[in-house]
Amino acid sequence: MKRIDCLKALAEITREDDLVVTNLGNTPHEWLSVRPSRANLYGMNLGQCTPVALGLALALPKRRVFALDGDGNLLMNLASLGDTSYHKPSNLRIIVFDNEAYESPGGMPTATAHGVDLVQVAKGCGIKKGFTVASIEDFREKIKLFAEEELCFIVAKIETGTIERPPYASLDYKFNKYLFATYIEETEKRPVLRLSSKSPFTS
Amino acid sequence: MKSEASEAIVRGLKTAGVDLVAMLPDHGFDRVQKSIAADTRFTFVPVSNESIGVGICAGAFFGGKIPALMIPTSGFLVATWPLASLHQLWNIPLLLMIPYRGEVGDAQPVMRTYQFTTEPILRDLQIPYVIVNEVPKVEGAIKDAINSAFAWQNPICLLFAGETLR
Repeated sequence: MKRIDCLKALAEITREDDLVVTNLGNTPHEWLSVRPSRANLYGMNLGQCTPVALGLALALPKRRVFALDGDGNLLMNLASLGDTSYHKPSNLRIIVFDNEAYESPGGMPTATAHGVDLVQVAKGCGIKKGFTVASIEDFREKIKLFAEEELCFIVAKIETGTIERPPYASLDYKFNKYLFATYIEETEKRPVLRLSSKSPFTS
Repeated sequence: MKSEASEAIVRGLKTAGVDLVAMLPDHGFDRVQKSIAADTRFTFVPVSNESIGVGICAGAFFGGKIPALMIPTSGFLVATWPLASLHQLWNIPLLLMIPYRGEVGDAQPVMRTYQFTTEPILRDLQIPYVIVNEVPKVEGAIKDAINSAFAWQNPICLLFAGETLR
């Protein structure tokens, strides 16, 4: 199963106002190609994809939030599954694309290549709705469950490899920040950036 | 931490508009933790390690919250990775609150090392910080830190020391 095929299937069921947080590496480039949107936060570094999505889900309990995590990324902060389970935000869906490798820096196997079962870890943390899928048909079937108002955790077993990247990226982190923050301000009618218009030293 | 300082911290957080607090407790923050957990004005997020708390606060910021992260002096070292790779790279505001252990007079041997790590690392991460060592200055320091964190789109750290801890 290829990640890009999973992402295409996910894009088909994603609503316009769904918020999506991706990990670093190949996922953000592929997700951008199938669902370009100001509602995307791209490129969370190791250990931060699920925590950032969790914080977003807690702050905006009426919006659906998706974490597109990876096995290497999640393994660095496995305890974030315990912290996610503490709150069990019903608006959060976590997908871990598990290629059993640190693919970007050369392909060294991750612990999932040696028997670590991330769904069992999630269930051990108290996340009840968790599935491992290994075919695109099964992936399409399981993501239908995202329509239910409940924390959901899916591990998609994928092969390594990715799409060809364009020569230049269309945005950097700070540009992404302002696109996303202003999108939230517009759609939620609440301040996010809270940039100061005056200083107590001069007003 | 003194009960007067704990109460001042909670008052200061409310005055500054902080509405989400992620925390991994230190001995000095036990009263603060109980007060925040019991107060419905705060979304209270206990975390298992400090770097998770940094990420949660970043997500909460993007969701429109005014987040604060309370962590032990030792845990600041754990938090440095996402403070560099996330908050500094993206320019994300955060109120970071740390009971500053390891000052001269602290009889706990394991705290000594943080006297040599905390401030240099804050400077390396380009996180402005204030050492708050008097209880009457707590509320104002929190308000100022939040103002600057959002004005500068950068983390600001308050190190609680002196009479706020003893």
